Amino acid sequence: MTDNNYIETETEASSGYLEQASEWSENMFYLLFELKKKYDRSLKNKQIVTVHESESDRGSVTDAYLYLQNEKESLVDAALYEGFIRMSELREKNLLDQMLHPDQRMEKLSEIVKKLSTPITYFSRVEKFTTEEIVSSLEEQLIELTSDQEIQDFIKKYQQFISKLANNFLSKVDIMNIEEQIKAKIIDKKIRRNEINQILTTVEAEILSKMISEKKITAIQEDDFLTFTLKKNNDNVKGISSSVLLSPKKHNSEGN
Amino acid sequence: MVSATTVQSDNYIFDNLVLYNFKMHKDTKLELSEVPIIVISGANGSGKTQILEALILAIGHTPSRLALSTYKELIGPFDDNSKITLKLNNPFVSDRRIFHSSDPELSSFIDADSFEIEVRINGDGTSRRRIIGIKGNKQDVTKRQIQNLMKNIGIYDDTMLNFTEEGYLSSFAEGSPHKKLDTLLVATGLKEVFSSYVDSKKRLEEKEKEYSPLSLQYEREITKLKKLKENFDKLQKKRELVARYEFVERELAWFLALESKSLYENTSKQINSREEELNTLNIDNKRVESEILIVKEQLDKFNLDVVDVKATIRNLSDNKNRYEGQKEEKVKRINTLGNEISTLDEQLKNFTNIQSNEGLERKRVLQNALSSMREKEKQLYDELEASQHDLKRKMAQELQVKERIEDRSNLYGNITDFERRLIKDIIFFKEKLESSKYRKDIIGPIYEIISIKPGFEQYSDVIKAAIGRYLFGFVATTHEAYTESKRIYDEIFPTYKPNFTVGRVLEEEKGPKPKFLVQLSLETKPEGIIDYATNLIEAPFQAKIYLKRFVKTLLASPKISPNLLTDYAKKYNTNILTTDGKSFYLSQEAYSNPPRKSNVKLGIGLSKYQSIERIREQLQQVQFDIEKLTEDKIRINREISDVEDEKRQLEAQLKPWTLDETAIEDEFLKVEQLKTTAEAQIRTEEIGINTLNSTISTLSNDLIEQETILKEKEHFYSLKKEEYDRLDDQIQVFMAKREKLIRQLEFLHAEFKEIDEQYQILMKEAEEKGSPPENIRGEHEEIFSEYNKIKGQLELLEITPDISEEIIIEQEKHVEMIKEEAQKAEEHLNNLKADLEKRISEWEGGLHHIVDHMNKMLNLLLQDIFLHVSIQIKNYNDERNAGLFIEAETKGDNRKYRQLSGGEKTLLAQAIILALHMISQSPIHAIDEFTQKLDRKNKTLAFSMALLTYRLAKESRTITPQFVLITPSLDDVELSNEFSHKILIESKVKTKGVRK
Repeated sequence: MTDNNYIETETEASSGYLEQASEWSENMFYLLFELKKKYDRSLKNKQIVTVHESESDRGSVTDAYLYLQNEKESLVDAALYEGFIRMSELREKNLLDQMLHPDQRMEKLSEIVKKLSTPITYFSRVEKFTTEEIVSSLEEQLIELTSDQEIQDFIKKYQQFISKLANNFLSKVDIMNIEEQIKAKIIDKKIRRNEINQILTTVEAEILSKMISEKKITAIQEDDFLTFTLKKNNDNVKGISSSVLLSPKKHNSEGN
Repeated sequence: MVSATTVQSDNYIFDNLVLYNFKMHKDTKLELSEVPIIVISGANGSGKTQILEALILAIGHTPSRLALSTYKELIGPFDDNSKITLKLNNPFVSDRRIFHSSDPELSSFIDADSFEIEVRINGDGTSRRRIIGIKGNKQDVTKRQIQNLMKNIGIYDDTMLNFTEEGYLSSFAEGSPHKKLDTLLVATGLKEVFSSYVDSKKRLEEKEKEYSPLSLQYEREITKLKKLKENFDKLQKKRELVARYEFVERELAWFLALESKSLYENTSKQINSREEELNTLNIDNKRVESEILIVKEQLDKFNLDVVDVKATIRNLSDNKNRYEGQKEEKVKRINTLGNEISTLDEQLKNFTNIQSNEGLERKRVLQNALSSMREKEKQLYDELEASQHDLKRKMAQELQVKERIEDRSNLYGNITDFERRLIKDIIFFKEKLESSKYRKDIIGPIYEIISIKPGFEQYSDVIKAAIGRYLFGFVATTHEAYTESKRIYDEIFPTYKPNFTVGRVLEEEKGPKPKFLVQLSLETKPEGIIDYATNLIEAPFQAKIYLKRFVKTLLASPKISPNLLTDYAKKYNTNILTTDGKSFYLSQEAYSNPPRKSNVKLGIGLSKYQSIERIREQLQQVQFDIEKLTEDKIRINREISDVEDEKRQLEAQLKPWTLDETAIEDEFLKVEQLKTTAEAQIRTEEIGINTLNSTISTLSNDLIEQETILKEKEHFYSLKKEEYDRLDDQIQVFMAKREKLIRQLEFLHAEFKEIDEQYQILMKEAEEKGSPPENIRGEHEEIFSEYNKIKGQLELLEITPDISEEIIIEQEKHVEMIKEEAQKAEEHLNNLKADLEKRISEWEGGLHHIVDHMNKMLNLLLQDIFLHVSIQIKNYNDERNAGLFIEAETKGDNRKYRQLSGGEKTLLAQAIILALHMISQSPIHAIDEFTQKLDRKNKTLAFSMALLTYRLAKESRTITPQFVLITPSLDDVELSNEFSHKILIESKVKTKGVRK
């Protein structure tokens, strides 16, 4: 069974939890959720919810948005409002339908067809509007820049929290030296995993990771022990790759 | 496990994470609460991201890379199942534990300083989640329950802020403004909600713009109500009118009934009066008829008298006429006898004068005359002889010419008169043609240039008969020749037009001719059919073409039955001539007389016939001469006879001079006796005449008497006749009157019947309308016009359906209902709109806040390299045109955003990600690929930014923010104490401990 299927079955189970929710926000979400279900169901079955009832329902969730915690909950709210609108349309249509004689209904349909088939715009000549005109007529909504002053104030306020980390440049020679150090420390030795954190610095561990990746060194794991061998001596080493997390205690600078 | 060495004030929530047989991780434990920022590095393929995935799974969510695969793939090679254990601390914040649940069962497990979440993935791919309490007690939980727990610390399943997985950074660094904004909105959970609210609002606004159908219906119903009211008023008026209408209708009905009654009575009276009149007339008539009978009898008697008298008169008149005739006869006889006597007297006188001079002179005259006569007679006899000799000679000549003609006819065919006439004409025609310049372009006559095809000679006669008069035709082969031939034809035959044909077969048709052009063809040739007559001749092609046009006769054996040949004639649409020339079947399903036989010989030159004609002319001349001579002979004979007569008379006159005296005396006595007899006869006749005269006179007297009687009788008759006519006229008048009266009566009876029926109907109708009104107006016009007037008014008032006050009240309620419904609906929609506006405004506020925060954060984080950085969001409520625009300017060289290097852009994106993490209230922030694409300098800057972000976040929170930064390698940055650097290496596990 996939996890998705699992979720489906969980949905039913969660309703019990929802009923018992006591928090205001949870209550509000619960209310939204239930109302959404109610309107979905009614719309599907074309059952009319009276305008009075709808208004009452709307009144109960008018401020719900203030308590919603995430997008999912907000979407329920948005869907409920869509439901309100669709219900109002259904209600109006239903009421009108009740009042209409079948002949009048046909007449109305013919009116709609007529309306739809009547052109409403006619350009007597080309280039009446330029593209620029149309574009400029669109209102551009822009979220204003925070003023420079505000930014400067903000920077000033939090300046104290800034601390610049140092750059530690390693030359090739440095790296070669470190590699030699690593070899000296660990090659052909059987070391407990925890002990390696004491033996190596973070930089050494970092370079070891690269050396293993470049197949210069092979790490062999046996129970809680690790044995490091040089590639040339271990051509026939076979086994399954496994990640080992090192957490060296010493930084490079400290190591040196 | 390494114990936490944190500052006392730190409130770490995430304590540690243990991975067992999870992908490459056989057994890995990650301490999270040592320091706030954990940096995990390691070479590619060392399993860095797997740690992040395990963390995401532990908090009840699904890593994006896993979403497409199954859980089964997460199980490592070292065991049959996999396990992730996350230990969480649960400190108090404001006197309440940070993790809490309304579910009491769950609450008991988590209501402690710490608890663990265990995710176990079984070999079959299923997963199981448990909460492990501080005392080691376990409780199965659902993924949803874990998610709900995580909400306590601000981790929601839909915000990506907490865990920035691989690929996320690049979409910020390299994406378009639209994509950037999209990423931002998705990251902040603002995207879909906003679209939904905006859509709903637009829908409402569109509804507002439209004229509400409900309002429209309301107006319609109002109109209906108004109409109903109007109709109700009309109905009241109508009722009054209807009452009056009914009264007038009754009055009118009764008026008409009574009127009809009086007409009925009147007609009845008229009939009676007419019948009386008729009776009187009949009596008078009878009287006159008896009178006329008597008069008629008298009239007949008078008539008989008149007839008798007339018969007597006629008888008398007849007798008188007969006697007068006898008298006339006798007078004539007397005259004749008188003449005879005078002749005899002359003879007697002559006898006495014979030897006188006068007598002798006369004798000499007579003798001269006689000798002259004898001379003449002799001459005539000579003449007769000469004539007879000439005649004989001519007759011999005639015989000779006839023989010559016969000889030639035997040679060239004994042509018929018809043919001869034609030949004469064409000879004439051809002579003229010969003199014209087109003589070579006109060929013919046809018979001259055609011959019978070898093998068909036995059909020669019948072929000629079939071709008929076209044998004598010509063919003109050019336009000019044709015109010229016509001119000649008209010139030489100005009035009489001979019956030959000139065809036009032009030059164009010369040359080798296809068979179809010159031959008629037969699709199939049934037995007995020989061929078309024209196909059996040989001729120049022009002649063939010419004949093909005119002669379409088929030749057939005479042995075939007439019906069969008629069928063929019809089928081939042609005439059929039998080879014996005796039967001719027509295409119109008939037989007729066969064409005349032609005796002309084919191929014989016209000159031959011309010569025959010349001989014929000679014959004619000879025959003419013979005729003339015969006539002469007759004349001479007649003249001889006349001369002999005269001679005999003269000889008689000379007789007395030849007699002796005795003979003369005898003669004289004989004559005297004759004279006496004649005189006696005259006397007898005269006596007869006298007797007749007296008889005639008596008869004349009788006639006069009878005529007087007749006049008298006729007078009486005419008087009676007058009387009779008068009576007869009277009877005729009576008859006419009677007929007229009878017709009138018939008409009146018929009318009466109709009036009676009408009366009955009208009466019935009137009674149906009710009893007669007390006062019925006298004038029909008056009643009828009022009736029509009311009727018109009622029609104008329209026929309204049953309408009542109840219906109006019902409609008023209905209108009220719609009005209320419309008002409520409007109010509801306005409220919905206000709600949506509040929500959109809230959303906008949220977005403003984010932008504001980000601008500040970015400037703070990037102050070392950028003079200023800002982000702008444009057209956020217009899906297509919305975008997030970044503006930046570097320090020193003042480069704009567009001019930034890839590393700088990534750094900027990194800053945005960090700024976004600040917005979230989550205690943990994990970022994969943290320093990817950054150079050393920028890498250092990125870690500085992370440190700053941590510090700022910590400043505003009670719970310590924890960062997990994953980076490929990190050997060149000096990290501060807030960092813990973990390195992953790859090792080989030998087969021991590996699952099978």
